[in-house]
Amino acid sequence: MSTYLRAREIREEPVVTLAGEDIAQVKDIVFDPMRGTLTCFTLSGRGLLAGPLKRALLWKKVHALGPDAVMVRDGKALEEDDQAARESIDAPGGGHVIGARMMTEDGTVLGTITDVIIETGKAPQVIGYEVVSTAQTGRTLFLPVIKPSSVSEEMVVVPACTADFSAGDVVGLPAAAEGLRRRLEQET
Amino acid sequence: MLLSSAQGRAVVAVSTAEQLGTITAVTLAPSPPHISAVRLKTRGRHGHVMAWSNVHSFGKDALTVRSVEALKPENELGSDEEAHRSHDPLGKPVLVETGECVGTIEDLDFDETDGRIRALFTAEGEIPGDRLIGVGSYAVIVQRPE
Repeated sequence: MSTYLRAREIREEPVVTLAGEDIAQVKDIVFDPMRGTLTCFTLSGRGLLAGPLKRALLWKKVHALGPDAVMVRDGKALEEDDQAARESIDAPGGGHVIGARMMTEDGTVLGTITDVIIETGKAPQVIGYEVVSTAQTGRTLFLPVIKPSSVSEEMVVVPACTADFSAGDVVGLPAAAEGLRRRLEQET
Repeated sequence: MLLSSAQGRAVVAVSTAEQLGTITAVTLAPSPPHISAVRLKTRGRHGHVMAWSNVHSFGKDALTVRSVEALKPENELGSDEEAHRSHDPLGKPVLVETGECVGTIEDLDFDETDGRIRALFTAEGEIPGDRLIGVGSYAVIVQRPE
């Protein structure tokens, strides 16, 4: 069974080894918005006074991403530095989608992205965004994103039919994503 | 035997007939899941630990041990040692290897002849002992059920 998490909920999750030691804490999630795959995590130390930890955790070193912890095999899973994280953040469209606007190919602004919804498990995938609707002021919508047309720092452009598959909550998002997937298959 | 029923039981040295202390807790190690050491309350401020290999017999009234020398003061143990208190599972959250919390360890059932773990107990229920992967300072890690 898959679980759906907001990026917000993954932030501050502990990074725990299979030996039961907590070695770091998730500071932020870096993902590839075009493919929807997670690239890596930036980290901070554990404890109240711990600052940022200048070591990245690459997705390929993660054992599993769950609702309560990011699991790694052992302490060797962390990179020696945060070079990898910085490179993916600096890559085009690799940075921040939160705060970006979501627009359809035919030029309608759907809203502002406030969070990213991730399907967890062995191969997590970004399945959609939490968006504050522009048309219905202040209303929060969940929009599935399968293949965005393009992504920049200001905007995520999606196929026009995306607007037909919004969900009112996270629970409804998988069904909306499935509907969008079928529609996109029909159109191609 | 349940750990809760073993706690408080006297620990007696067979060689000298002395009571060394009482059982307070245990530390666990994986593959196969077993008790690696017994933690004791002894006279003085700090407790002692003793490797399971030193257990002579788990009797009705006392745990008998082979030698007094096997007892080590708890505060002299490094965190990389099997008997270190960071491997004590009681009160720790149980994480499935997929990163999901399934409760907190309240008790465990073990085989008093060889120290093998039969089951772990949380408020939510029982987890078969053979699913245990590791016990660290933060959590108890178990395999996903088949």
